[in-house]
Amino acid sequence: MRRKIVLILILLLLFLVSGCGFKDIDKRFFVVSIGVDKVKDTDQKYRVVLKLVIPSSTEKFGASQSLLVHEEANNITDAIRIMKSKVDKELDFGHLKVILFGEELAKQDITQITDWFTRRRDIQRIAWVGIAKPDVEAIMDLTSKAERLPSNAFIISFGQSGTESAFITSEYLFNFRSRLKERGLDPFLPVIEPPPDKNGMFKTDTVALFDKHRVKVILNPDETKALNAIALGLRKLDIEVGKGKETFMVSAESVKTKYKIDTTGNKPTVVMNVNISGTIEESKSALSGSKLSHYEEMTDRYAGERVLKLLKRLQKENIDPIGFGLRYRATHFNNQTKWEDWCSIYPNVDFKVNVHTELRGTGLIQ
Amino acid sequence: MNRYFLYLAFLNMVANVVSIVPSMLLKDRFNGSGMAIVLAVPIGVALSYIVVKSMEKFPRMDLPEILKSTVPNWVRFIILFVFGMVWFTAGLMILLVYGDISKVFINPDLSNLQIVCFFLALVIPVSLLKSDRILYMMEILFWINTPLIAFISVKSLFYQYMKWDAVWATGTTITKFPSIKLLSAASYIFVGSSNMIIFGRLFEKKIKKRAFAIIAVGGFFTLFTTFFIPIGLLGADGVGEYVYPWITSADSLRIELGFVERVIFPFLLLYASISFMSIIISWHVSLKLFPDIFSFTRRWGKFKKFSPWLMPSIFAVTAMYLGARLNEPLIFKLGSIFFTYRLGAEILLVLLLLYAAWRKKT
Repeated sequence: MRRKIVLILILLLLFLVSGCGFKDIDKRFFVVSIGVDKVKDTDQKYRVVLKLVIPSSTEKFGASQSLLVHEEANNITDAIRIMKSKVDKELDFGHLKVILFGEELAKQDITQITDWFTRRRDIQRIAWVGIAKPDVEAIMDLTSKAERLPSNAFIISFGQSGTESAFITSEYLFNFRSRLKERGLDPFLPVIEPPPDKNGMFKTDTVALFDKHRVKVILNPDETKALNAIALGLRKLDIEVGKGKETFMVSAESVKTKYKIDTTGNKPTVVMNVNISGTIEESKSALSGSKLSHYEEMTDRYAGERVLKLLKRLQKENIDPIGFGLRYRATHFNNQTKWEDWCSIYPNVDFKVNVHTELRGTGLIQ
Repeated sequence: MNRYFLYLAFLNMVANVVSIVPSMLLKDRFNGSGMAIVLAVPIGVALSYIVVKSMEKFPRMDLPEILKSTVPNWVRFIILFVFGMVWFTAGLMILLVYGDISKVFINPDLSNLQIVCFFLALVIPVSLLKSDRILYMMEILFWINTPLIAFISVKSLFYQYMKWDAVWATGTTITKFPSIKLLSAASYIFVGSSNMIIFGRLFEKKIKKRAFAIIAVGGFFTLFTTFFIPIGLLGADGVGEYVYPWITSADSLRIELGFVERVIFPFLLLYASISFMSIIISWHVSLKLFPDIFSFTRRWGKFKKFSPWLMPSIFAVTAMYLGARLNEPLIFKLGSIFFTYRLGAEILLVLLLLYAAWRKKT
């Protein structure tokens, strides 16, 4: 009996513990996207823009309301602290889904900024990261009639849970950070631009490739598509094959890429095998089912050329978003020198691209 | 009863995923961790096999009782004290680490002392229960948690962003011989079966050999996933910068169509229950080892009246003090010291039990 009383007394002591620091949901501002940009003409380093959701009772298309708050400071922490004094509710980063870096900033140095995002405990590692062109505010200001929640358009198009486009690349925060650190696997980010006309929502058909610090090159849409297909896990894409009258479009359902680094010969070679399977979606002239193998060969040739051109360009810029360097590290055992070895191999390595296409048919008509 | 032995072993394996073991292994990922994992399996299984089989020579007896009949009193005092401290520290480590994790990820506004107090209010009364009840409780928690853990590990192994090249890049350093510290940390996940020094009293049938095969396979899989999943997700070079690589890895997983998109929340809840259970088991063993020390001379007789509450109070005060005082790097330092000597304690236990079994035979 005495033991029980003592136990109850101890448990009662827990009431002395102060309540937790939980703030009610109506006293919070949820930040859905954050943008960091360079400031022109002042000595402050960063311009930070937050998009805050204004909650509404009805969730309707086009009814999403949000607030843009911005601040300039020498570091992100300062900017956030000052912004906290500008709004009435507590800023909550738990639902932060989109992180945008300004193009100017990305061209200078990006490693420092990702530090804040990875060090903070409350930032999701699965937030989408992108580059805003020409500047962050132009992109974050975009609203659309088709959005139910602020920034939702980015979220569903990056996740490919909405539109599935071969031009859209997407990158999570954790993966971006890990690529920044990984020797032999370089980071990339999608570039988001305002729509060319007022009916679009936004335009994201290019990808920016980084070395370990800054943007090195921004690929054009066609190269973006090729890179997306061979390296970034895209499943569906369309390929233009042939020229002049004999042009047709292949709609690929699956693209599987395997590569290995062959160092047995006198010149190191990267051998890349691409397996494409799909059907023909559009043609300028009539097609014949019996000539399918001919069409397959044509696709092999045209796709192969495009991939080879892309690989050569990456090599010329000395960047490696596909991860050949990491593959080299994974398959060679001379741990002391292998990274230096690869650094000297990569600029001179030969590429061999074998594309193997399997066409299921010519579509519904011949 | 055989299955409870497996629960004991497996609980310890999964509990260490959030503790310091993965951080220690990942920090030295290019300096022998791979080899440590490979070597830890035979070492760990062999040690736990000897412990269990020697204990079986003394049916219905626990370690304090065995020692009573084999060694002089003062030796028994020292041995029980050492092992009591080892088991206490094992529980304490998980308590401190999970306390720190809950402060960082669950409620940053609570002070460390308050968090530790909450934990203690749950852990201490439960660890004073009878051994068999603790085993029953463990069985329930085991079956609630294991499917979720299996889901998370399998999900991450097949995750699109799992970079197997990074795993292999680390794997190429497997020929490096590990330090004792790494070996000790890696083999720590097998010490769950050493809890049999107290719980063994309840086991009537002999533990089948098959159980050790299951432990070997399960242990290897656990070590493999604890080590390589963070590397695959966070990168061979990048993984080193994270304080809690496993929590960051869980946060990197996204289940698009799950109830919760972010895996970190179920993961934290899951590991709350696993950590609690693991602390309860360790401290239960520890609390069973200590009382005998106080009955060893007449002079301690006075303390007997207080003894049921004496040790738990000491545990609580120590945990509260350390929880309030230690910061993150210090907790990790304490942990790495503990794990370095833990293998030594395990070997000491094995030798002791072998000696006891040999004495009984002759």
